[in-house]
Amino acid sequence: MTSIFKALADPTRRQVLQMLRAGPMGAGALAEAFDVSKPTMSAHFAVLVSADLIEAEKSGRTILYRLKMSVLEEALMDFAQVFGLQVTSETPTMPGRIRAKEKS
Amino acid sequence: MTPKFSIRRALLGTALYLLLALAIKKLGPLYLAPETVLRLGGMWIAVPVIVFANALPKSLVPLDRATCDPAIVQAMRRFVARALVLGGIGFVLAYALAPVAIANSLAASLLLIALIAAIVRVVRTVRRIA
Repeated sequence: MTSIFKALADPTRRQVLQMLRAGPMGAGALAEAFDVSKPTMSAHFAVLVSADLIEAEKSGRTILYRLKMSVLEEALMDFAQVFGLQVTSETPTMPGRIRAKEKS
Repeated sequence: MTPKFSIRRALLGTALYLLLALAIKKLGPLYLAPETVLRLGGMWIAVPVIVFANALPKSLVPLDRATCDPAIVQAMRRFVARALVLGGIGFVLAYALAPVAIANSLAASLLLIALIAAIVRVVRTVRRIA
């Protein structure tokens, strides 16, 4: 449960989960939406995979990520989104593009 | 990744569920008011619905075995899971809060509505895929 809260505490990871609600996406396509380095993005993916919120599947040369959230976990994410839960102590910096979007 | 669910665990969970249901039925009247026993028994019925519906979006079919757009299937699973969880919660709340005389009918109606919504969505998705 702690890993789930840790994963949902970061806005970038929540944004990734929001994007995956539309369907499976490649790691590259997901990374392009954020102004962060690839290793940082990989770290975010690793946290989400270890919390069992997404699943990585190899498709040819690319890695596809799929949403793997229970109803309760989705409700927790929406709760965190609405109330702006942000615990970014051990997470990489927030992406500029998303930050700019949230400011506007 | 090793599977989280095993037959032993499932059997243990089922046994525990039935044991608690039996305890409510047999021991409940000794310590609780008949109305409370009825409410607890009713609420207990919806627990497996909520638990299994909640976990539904977590069971994924490998992409290489997918026969259609995985995004469509994902949306359907999420809708069905949410509908059934809400139906289950409605069932529990009806048994917990509604007057005893109508609790059973209200609970069943709420779960039935959720079930119909889920079936309609599945049928619509299957038609869309076909």
